[in-house]
Amino acid sequence: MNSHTDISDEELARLVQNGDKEKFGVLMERYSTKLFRYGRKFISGDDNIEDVVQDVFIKTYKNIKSFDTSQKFSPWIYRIAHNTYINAIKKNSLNPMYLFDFDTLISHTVVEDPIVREREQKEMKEIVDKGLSQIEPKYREILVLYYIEELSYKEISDILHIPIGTVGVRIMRAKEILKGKYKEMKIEI
Amino acid sequence: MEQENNTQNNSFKQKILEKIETGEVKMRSKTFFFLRVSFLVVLAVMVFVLSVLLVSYILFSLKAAGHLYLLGFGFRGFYEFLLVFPWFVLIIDILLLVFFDWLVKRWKLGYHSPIIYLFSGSVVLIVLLGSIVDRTSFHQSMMYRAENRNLPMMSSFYNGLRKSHREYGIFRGFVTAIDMNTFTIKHSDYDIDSDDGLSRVVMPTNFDVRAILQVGDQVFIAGDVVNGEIRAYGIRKLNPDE
Repeated sequence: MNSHTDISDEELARLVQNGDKEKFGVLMERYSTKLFRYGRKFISGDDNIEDVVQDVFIKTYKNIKSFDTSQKFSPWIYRIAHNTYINAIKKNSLNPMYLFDFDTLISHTVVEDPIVREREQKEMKEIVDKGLSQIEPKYREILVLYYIEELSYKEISDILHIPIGTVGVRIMRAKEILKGKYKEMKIEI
Repeated sequence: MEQENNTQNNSFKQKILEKIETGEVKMRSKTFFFLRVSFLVVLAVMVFVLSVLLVSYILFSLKAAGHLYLLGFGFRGFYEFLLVFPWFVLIIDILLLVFFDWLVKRWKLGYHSPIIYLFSGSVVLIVLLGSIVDRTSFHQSMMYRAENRNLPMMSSFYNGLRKSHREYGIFRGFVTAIDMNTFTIKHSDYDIDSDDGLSRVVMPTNFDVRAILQVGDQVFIAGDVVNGEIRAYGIRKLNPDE
């Protein structure tokens, strides 16, 4: 498999589109750890995570011809994962989610600051890793995508289909809510 | 531990690849996606065009029926304007606009914009294009066809637009006689029904009708029917083509 390391995801996707099924295996190797991690954190408490991730890969394969190889592959597959995970949460929960998000209504001027990100990354990753089950899925997900998967605002915007400004605002709110929950539970952070 | 993970990952990967190899999971063709995107684009364009037509219809109907004149007849006129406004068409148009924005949200241009901006942008665009359509002869020719019973579909939208509506106290007609503060009109409804008769219109005392009207003028009147006479609180002379 080492021979594939110099091939980009987009090129692999193009080869799969042209019928090279084996290359889909390489894409799966590249993304299975990430998608399992994203799924475990997002769909907290789902025992069938393997089935759900399998579903993500099956949908990816089925729809791969709709992927535009001039774009980045990573947000595209994460978008499929996002939709699949949302369906899994809806299936397993009585509470409706994502009914409406007021943050998507208006414009927010939020700039992604790489210095702040670098400074916060380690601390937030640890906090997020400690457990997110106490907060709403929409906040849980954005923290995972930003701090664990280390995606940019732009990529998260393309995955969640929300404005870039909303990504910044939601991350900010999620951090506050998470820190508040830890304080309530008297957990040292 | 790492070896165990690798084995697990391999079996997971093999399970999916096996499904692909056996044909249990098949790739959808490019044509499928092309058709799906084309369908969505056509649907969005149709919804957009329909919204523009409805806005232009609202503007046209308010002008053709003379309802806009009510806004110049004081508080009472404003109240009546609210009663005769085509709210149902407006609500349908808003719903179409919401549906249009929902469709547009599937594409980058849509989801990168905050909902308020997207919605206000669509409203501005639709009103702008609607007022351009309103300036064309499209609705007028449709109305003439409906009045001549030559419009099989949509005729209910145009029929009776230029009609007197007693229930709302709105009348249209040609002046047949003038006498100080009263005058007589012959209803001009552009149709054949029982209200095509003469009505006496009474203006407030000391109002000199001759100063603004002549026999033969077409008028729009807002008033109440009392003892068979129209007690007007507002009149407006109409252009011959109105």
